[in-house]
Amino acid sequence: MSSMLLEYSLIFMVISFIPCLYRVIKGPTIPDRVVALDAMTTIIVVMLGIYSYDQESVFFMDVALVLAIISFVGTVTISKYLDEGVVF
Amino acid sequence: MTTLITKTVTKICLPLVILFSISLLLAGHNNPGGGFIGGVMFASVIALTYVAFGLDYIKSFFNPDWGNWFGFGLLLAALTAFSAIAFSHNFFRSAVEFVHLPFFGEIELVSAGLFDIGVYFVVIGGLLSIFKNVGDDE
Repeated sequence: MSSMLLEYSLIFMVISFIPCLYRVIKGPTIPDRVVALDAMTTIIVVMLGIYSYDQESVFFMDVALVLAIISFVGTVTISKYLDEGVVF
Repeated sequence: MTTLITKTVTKICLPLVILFSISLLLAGHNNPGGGFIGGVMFASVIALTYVAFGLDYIKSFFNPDWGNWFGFGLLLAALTAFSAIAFSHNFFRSAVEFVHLPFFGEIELVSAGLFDIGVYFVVIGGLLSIFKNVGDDE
């Protein structure tokens, strides 16, 4: 029962990629694309958490943590570059 | 000029991510982790402090020569790889030792861990020397 609910939640998370992908491809400005990519990475992190519960393996949690940190650093760096024109 | 929110989050993230990178480094070889991804974590959080506080401000009190880290890591990895020949084994042969520590239980010590530490320093030195030298250029 709980495994079926987890699979349904994974399906809905994959569906929620579609508006993000639309905003990445179609997005009129670059900040739109950056925010959409950040949202996609967050969805992947949550999917990895649910998948690790589904597969009963803790190893996906390491991947989720690394991906969250890399995504945060990248988003902050791109935001500062778009805001000021310099990174450091 | 970054905001107060970014600076506070960076101050909170810095020790946690450095501890996580060391934990990834020590978990390697049998579990997910290893020298490369631990070095990437360390370099990314130092780069985050460079971005949040500015390169000039960080360099005024914390300015190691990251190229030395690169050279130390490369030397350590190469010596680990060649030291198997000194014990009349094949190149890159890894030695395994099981030790029993209090509070930790049985721990598997491999000499490939030294190679992983070398890779860790190579990745940190390479990435951060690129970041510092590229960011410093006017």
